[in-house]
Amino acid sequence: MLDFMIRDVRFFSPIIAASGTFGYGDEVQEFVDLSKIGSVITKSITLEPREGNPSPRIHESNSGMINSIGLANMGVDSFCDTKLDSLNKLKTNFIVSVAGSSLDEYAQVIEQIDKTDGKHVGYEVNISCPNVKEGGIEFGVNKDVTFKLTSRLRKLTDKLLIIKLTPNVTNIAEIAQAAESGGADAVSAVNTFQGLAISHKTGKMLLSTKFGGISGPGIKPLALAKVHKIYEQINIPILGMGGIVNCTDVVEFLRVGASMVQIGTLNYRNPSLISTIHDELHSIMIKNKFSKLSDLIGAYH
Amino acid sequence: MKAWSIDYVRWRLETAYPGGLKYAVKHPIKFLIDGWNFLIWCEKIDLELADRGEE
Repeated sequence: MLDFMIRDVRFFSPIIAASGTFGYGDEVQEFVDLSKIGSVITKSITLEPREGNPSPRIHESNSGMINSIGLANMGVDSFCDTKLDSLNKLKTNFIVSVAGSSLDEYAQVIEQIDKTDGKHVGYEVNISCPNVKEGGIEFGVNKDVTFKLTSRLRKLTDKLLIIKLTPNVTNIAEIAQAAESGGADAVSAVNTFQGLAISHKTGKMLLSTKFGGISGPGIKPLALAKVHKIYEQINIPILGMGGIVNCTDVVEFLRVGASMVQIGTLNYRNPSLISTIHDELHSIMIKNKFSKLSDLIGAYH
Repeated sequence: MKAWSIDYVRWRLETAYPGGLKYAVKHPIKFLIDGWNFLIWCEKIDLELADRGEE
């Protein structure tokens, strides 16, 4: 009832743990029932190891959090050597998130992981990274760059290619279209919204990088609007995300056009809650006489 | 929280701080303040979850 196919890959639940919120993915397997999660998305992997931004890099806000972790990760070499074996044994699908500061870096990371015997079903491409060769402007704010990046990566792998869109653009639907034209199998919508936190007492910024990404329940209406806009312009599945904390939120995302959903910030509160949402969604489907997910996907439109 | 594995706690520290556990040990007061803020945040999120549940 809750399974969904993207191309030839079957997900037995539409609920996915968002990138990085379960670490690399294997850190939670002892205390989270992964059989009730459609997939885990790893932390974003870069070509070189990164320690991330200086502290403070997380600020808890009233209805979520602002973070600027800065892609802290072990780098692709260590990831392939030390993590893939463990991830291959997970009781659910896993997707590798990749990030880079140039087109070449993204390509090298995917090429390197693709050579291994990793059982990952696909890649989620984090395009909210600054493009160093283009003056630090994010890849994902330009439709031509998004197309160029997607079409280049498409040639490198047969696994699922999912482009994670930034909401910090004027027209997100045209960026989604560029990803689809470039050969993406799906898009994730949306990454965090840009925000800032400042102390009213001291006047100091509360994140070392000044700006960070806002996530959590407060952004749900914003994220729903983005998914709604994208759904009307593309024909590939949307992995909706932004502020989901329970199964009714999941249903709302499905109704406006998401085919699957990702849960992120809630995992920082309690990583076990995500598996209960699967059961609740199942009950809601039966109660409302929906026989399959596609009865709900885009039902509003 | 009781069920969290050591690997998971290590990862949470690495997420919060460059250097992870080492940073927390070197900055114990900051670590305690951050931990307190996290607990307050958990309470706020729980209230949010409870409110949503009543909709």
